[in-house]
Amino acid sequence: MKNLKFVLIFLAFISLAGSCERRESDVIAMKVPGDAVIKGRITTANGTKPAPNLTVTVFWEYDGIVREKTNVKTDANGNYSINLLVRPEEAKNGQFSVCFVDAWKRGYLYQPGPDPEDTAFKRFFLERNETKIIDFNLPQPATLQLSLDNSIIYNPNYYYQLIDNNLNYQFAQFWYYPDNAPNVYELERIIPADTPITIEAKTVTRVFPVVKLSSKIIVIPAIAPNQTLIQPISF
Amino acid sequence: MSKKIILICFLLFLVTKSYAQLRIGATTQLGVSTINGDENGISYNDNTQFKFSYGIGVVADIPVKYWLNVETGLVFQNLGFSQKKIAYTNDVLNVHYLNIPINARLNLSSAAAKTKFYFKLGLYGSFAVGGNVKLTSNFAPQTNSGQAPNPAEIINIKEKRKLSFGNDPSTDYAKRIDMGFNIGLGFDWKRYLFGFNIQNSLINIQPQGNRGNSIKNCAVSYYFSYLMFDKNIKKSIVAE
Repeated sequence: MKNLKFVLIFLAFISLAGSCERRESDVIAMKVPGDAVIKGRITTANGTKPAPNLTVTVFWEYDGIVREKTNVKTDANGNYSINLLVRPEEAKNGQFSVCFVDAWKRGYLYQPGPDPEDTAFKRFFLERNETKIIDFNLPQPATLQLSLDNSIIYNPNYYYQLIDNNLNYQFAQFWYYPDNAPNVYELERIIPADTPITIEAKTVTRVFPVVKLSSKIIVIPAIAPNQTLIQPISF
Repeated sequence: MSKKIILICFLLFLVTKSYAQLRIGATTQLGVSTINGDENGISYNDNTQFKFSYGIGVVADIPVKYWLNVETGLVFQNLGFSQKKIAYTNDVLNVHYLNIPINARLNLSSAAAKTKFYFKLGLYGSFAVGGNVKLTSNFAPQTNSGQAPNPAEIINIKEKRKLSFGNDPSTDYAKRIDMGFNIGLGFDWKRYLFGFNIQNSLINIQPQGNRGNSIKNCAVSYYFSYLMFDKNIKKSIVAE
């Protein structure tokens, strides 16, 4: 019986290991004159300020393989240019992506992660002898605190839903169920600075047999980088 | 610092030249090479492996004392590395150097011994004369329907690309000049020298050449040299 348990654990481990992605680094690609060019400008504050000295990394992904191709730093004006070796199999299969693996560390609102799935902002196909221009604006973070109406929170007949319409960011969409967290009356989220954000707040009243839906659009003004705004919400 | 070391070696070479006759011969090297270091957070140690390397050239040997020889020469070397196996590819990077070693050979055997074992230690300077990368791809193209590629349709593509050398990290593989140390063991039998040698860069040859961006050559090789004009010299040294 004990052996059977070990066999099952072993089989489960093997099946998980088989499904894992394979990471590899193409160091030759960093040293060889390339065929394709990826270039652009990385900015912050809605494109008004450059993002200097930021690492721009190119990945190629196909069939569970995540291959780090090369990386460069942006210059003082936020410009970068990558002369990339595109291998025959890369031109035919899979996709390339550009990531900023140290953006969060450098104070930009961009979540790093072990997988480029978490950090890639653009995926693209790339042929040999092709030039791709990829510009991007990386906002700095600001904090939004939503102060919710107590009468809504402590009333079990309501639920409360907040939707951020700016869906460009991983943090952006969130939900709030006061039934699950009745003691929480402030909700804090990190949002992009220098950008107005629209939030739709919804409540549903469930007094059998009547279900009443109310919603409200709230425009959050642009918040300066690394500042906090407290926004009260009530119906 | 490295300039001073070279100057001292050169002076040593001149001094020894005034005391002893030169023995000249041909040398060949066979071994393996790779690089160490990292670049923009990517480790070469983790992603490269040894490749076959070779060298051919002339060697000059100066007996100074019965226990000391000074060795120099000019060797055409093929160094570089092989990329650790990544999916669908198999790549080898070759760099061709003109290498000038200056080694002190300390003889470990007695003066009368016919076969002399020795330990050698020295410095080298190398100049990169060219290089290339051999890329090999084996893959099956993706089908239009998004299904897994058919293994029977595997395509094999081989390419060769030239490397450039200089101080621009965006276009150049490495700096042209490399300097480092040699260390080895061998034996001297009649006119033949056999042994193995380890050479490693002391300077950073990465074009940017700062902390966090470094490339250093490393090679381990067996060598075989055939020396001429050694008979009279050996007698005179023993007589001392």
